[in-house]
Amino acid sequence: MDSEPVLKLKEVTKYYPVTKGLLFARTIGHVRAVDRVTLDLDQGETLALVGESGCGKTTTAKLILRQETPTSGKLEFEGQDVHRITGAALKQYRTDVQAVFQDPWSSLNPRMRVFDIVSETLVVNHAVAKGEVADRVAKVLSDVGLRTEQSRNFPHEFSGGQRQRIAIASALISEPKLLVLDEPVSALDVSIRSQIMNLFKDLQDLYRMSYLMVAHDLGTTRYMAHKVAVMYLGQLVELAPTRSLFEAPLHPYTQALFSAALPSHPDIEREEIILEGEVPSPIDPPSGCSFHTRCPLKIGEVCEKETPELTPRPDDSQHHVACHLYTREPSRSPGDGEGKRV
Amino acid sequence: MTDSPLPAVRAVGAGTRKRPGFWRGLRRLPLIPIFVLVVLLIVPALSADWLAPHDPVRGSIPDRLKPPVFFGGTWEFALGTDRLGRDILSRLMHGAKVSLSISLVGILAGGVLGTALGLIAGYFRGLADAIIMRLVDISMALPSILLALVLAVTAGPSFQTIIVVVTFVLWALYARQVRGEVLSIRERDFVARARVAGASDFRIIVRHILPNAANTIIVLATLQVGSVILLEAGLSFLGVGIPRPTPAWGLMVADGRQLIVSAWWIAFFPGLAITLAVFALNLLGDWMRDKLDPRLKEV
Repeated sequence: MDSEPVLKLKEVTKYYPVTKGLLFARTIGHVRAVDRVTLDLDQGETLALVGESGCGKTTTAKLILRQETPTSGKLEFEGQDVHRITGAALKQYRTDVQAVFQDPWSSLNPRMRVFDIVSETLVVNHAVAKGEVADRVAKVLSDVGLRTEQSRNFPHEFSGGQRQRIAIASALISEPKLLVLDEPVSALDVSIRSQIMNLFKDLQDLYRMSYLMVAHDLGTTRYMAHKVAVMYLGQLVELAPTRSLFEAPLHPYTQALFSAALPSHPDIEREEIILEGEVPSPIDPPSGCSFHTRCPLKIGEVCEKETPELTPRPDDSQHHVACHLYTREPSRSPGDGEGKRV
Repeated sequence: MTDSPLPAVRAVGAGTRKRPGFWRGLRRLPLIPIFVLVVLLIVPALSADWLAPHDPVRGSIPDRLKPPVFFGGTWEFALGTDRLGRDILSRLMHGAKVSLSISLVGILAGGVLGTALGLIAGYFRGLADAIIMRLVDISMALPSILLALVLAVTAGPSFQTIIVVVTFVLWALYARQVRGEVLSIRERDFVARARVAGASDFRIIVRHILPNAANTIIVLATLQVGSVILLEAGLSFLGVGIPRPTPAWGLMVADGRQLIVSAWWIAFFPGLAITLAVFALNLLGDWMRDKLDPRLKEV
């Protein structure tokens, strides 16, 4: 895209200490929740983080929202280090970056009226004059398809889809530049998912926002995202524009992940890749490529010893993959990998 | 940007705030416990100064040990008189005032202190949590009667002493219960949202956590009125509570103890009042608990 990226992650790493003992806790190891993740998010773009539970996608979202601080590495928002900003710049950041959470039953305070929920960001940051708050609330409510009078109601008076609209309105109130969406439709009924997804797309154009979306539903991802980052055990294994990723997934993990998703039609015949074994513990991740213990296409010793770097494909500079299959022998296609099955 | 991307969606019952379940809810009120409490505790406590037929403190020796009206007494002393000729009914009415004010003040003091500490412990965790919860353990391990005895001996039995003891006994219950509640509320997404928006800890506690813990606190308070009345009665009975000659129910039971065979009514009526009031309060508290907080099963 044309302009500078809105958000840059540089080698971002988050380790959680694992302690043992009740009185004198000792650190016996670290959970590598996010491991050297580097990616860019352009203006007006939607980037989806996908992967199975515990792969670090939510932790990445939390790092962006300043709910966690990185162990090492740096997050930059419009050139500023997200975890170093203070004062007025911090207030600006808190209005520029907003979040919509997964479960609209948990993300709306049941004891507050919609007006107070929606206006909270403005009130907390004194972002606008007091008299202006009501106008702003009315505007965002109409933008998400709710009526102004409904701002007097309590959350329990709304349905799931409406509640998610309220959550979206409360994120939009400060006219953010980046919205972190943590599985924004997965708690909703299938029948209203598409409504909410379309709402997100319309609002993205209206407000010129970037989205960072955490998802494990591939259908949602395909519909919403411009770019997809696949995570496994805290690391990025593949990063590509949505179309090329869905047409030709390169990393063996991505291939397995996609094959596990339901096809769009029940009669579609497809090859199913069943991964054997459990996800290794993130406390003691495998050496080399962290996927080698379960990889059906393992080449050999190199996978156990060397960590593959995320590198662009020679034929498509947008498509990045971290796998020895492609760095060692560029001619080799993933289909004829003859590595032994683990 | 005034045009909306999607047509407005109508909320269920939006705009008009109607309450279809209001009258039905009212009919389900536990009427008997409420009636007992009103007759036994609230009306006497509020009106003792005007309605009580006799002075509760000053007796007349000629009228001593008069039996209740249906046991050979007269309507002048409907529930009989005690050893000093004081009217039991009047003393019961004034005693209700003592019981009610001690419960209210004690529960308020203990509730405010315990809730504040519970909020701090549950919200900030860490060292504050560890210290407060150990204090709770200590407070719960100390027998309240023993504490009251020590306090009564050093400070002298008085209304204030009782309040201190009640506060000391109650705060730990609140602190523990509120902390547990806060631990679950603070993990909910609306708290995360408020943090992302930059809300201060104070705002999060006051606007987000406390209102959602309020049900628990109200239920706990209701359930405790009964036990506070019982505690006050026990302390007064032992002579470390309300000093004589103030008419407190526990004190009246203590006074009637020696005469229980010859003049049973002296101890019987205050004892009955304590039993009925505590029983009714427990029923009311159970009802509130079921109504407000189905998760709080045992306090």
